[in-house]
Amino acid sequence: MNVHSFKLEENAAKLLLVVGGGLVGSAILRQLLLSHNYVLNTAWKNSDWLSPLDLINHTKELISLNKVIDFEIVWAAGKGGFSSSLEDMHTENKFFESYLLACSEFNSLSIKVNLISSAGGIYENSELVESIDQISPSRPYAHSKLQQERFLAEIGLVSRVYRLSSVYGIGGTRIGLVTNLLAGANFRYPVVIYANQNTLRDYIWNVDCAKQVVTDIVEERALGVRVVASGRPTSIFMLSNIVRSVTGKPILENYRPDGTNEKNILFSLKMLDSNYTASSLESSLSLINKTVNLAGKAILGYP
Amino acid sequence: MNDQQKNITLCTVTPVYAGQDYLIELVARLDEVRNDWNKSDSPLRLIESIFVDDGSIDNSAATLEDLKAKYSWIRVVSLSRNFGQHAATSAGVCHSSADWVVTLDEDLQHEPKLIEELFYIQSKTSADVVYAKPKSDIHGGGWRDKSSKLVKKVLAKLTSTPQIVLFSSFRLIRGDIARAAASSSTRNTYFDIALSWYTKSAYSVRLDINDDRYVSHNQSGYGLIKLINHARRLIISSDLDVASYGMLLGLSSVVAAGLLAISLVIVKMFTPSAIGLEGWTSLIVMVTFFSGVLIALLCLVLEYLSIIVLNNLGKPTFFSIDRSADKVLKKWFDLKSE
Repeated sequence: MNVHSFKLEENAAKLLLVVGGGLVGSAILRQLLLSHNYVLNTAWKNSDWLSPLDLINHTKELISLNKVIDFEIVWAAGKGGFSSSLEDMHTENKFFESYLLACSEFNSLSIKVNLISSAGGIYENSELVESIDQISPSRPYAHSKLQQERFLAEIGLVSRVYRLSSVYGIGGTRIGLVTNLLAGANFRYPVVIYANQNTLRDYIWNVDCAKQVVTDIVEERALGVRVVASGRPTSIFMLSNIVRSVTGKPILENYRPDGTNEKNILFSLKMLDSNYTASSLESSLSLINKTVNLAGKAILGYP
Repeated sequence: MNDQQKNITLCTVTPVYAGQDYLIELVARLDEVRNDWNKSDSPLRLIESIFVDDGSIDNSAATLEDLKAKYSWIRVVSLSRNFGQHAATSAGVCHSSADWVVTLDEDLQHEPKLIEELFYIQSKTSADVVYAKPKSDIHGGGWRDKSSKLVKKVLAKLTSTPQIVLFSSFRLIRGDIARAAASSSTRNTYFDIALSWYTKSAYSVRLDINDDRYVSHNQSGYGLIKLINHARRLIISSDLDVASYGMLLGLSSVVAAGLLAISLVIVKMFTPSAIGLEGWTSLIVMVTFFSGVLIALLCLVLEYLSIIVLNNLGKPTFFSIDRSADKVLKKWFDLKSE
């Protein structure tokens, strides 16, 4: 777990804490560094998800040293992923709840939480989602995210919840489908796809997500739950075609459809967050492709 | 969800260029069809209609915005400039998510109520694409109709795509195939040729279709130059078998030259007086032989070029499909006809 703290301006009375440095967390960090660069403390790391007290003490220290009256958290951390077990998610949730419960007891502080949640998990069994309440989770990961959302409401913490659709981009340690396809085309290795060619998803770029989260914080936009998606359904086949076009190389695809991974998950336009501006897949994949080429095989964890 | 309860979703795609006089009525008719299906026991559901503003030259853009505000199931995709009907259709299809896609023209040439007839043919044939053909000549039997038919007939013979003669802009397409074809297409690809890369299962049905805008007002989105470009794109996208025929001709010439040489040698040996003029036999044989070699080599080069071009145009190596939901529609139409 990585934790970074910021103030939006040098003498501001507001402290912003970004917890998490994965796909979305790292993009939020980059966006903050680009647009508001008053960094207080970087890379406080804790790989042990068993000691929330360390993070609580660290937070208290930051608050008292900087004399803040406003405290905003971006929770983009996650021990687990889609295939995580109940036990993994239990550990994550226990940490999350302990930390936020402690935060809610900080006196005379106005506290807001921006929780990065998962539309793909929460609506997994709905092919077309037409209302925010149409939840249909099946995995421990999704249930855990819902539990986190409910916990915030139960302890009365004011919040924005971002239910993100299928996020792609560079960041964190996990390699997603899009990066894998680009790397597979560039470095000529077969890419295993656990869905079928026609599975439709709504892909959003982590950079666009980060821009929205940061803008919401800076401009103090409305609170509440929002679904972040582009409204442009894309099949795996279409994605592969874009990758081929961007890289100019063939992809060695290996399809292994895997139960729920084959399902379409799409969102009705009327329920999408109107503040979200989606970059086109073609342009974002071109940029990511350049990064993949520069990073070389190191992007896959090879030396 | 069991087969009886499963809905079959549909999306319509309409490229818009000069449709301000027709769009409101078109949407009203689509709405009527949508409501009829929702109220009845039909498994069909029109979940969205996508209008692609292809650099429209009249007030279509503003009309579309008003329609979008009024109907939640209308979606508008605005292109940065005019890209042409096929590109606009591809753009609209790339934004779709339904099980089936129907492409319609903007000018009420294609009556929304006829969509169900396309589905009826699909249920009987299990086709992936159903084209609507006019019962009579769509442009009043003029030069447009005749030239269009001629180009398509010639190409159907010269390519391995006999379904070229069925092509029409009023089509029902299986959603996955439509999206695959649209995403594979480049700016020189004829959309229906791209469809033929994914399926040979295409049928047509004769319906009451007329281009009233052309017949009554002599207006059309296509002038002569655009029509020629249209035909050019059709030819370029098609996989012409000319190279194969040419190679066959070339090799046949080479073999014929060999056989001719042998027969002339035999004639010269046994009846030397039969060949009066010295030198012409070897000349004929050499010309036949080397012409054959040249034709064969040129056609080989043409084949390689064709492979590269088709690759660049987006032709896929393979594509998988799931047709298991077809039985829902088949069952419904069977029940309806009883």
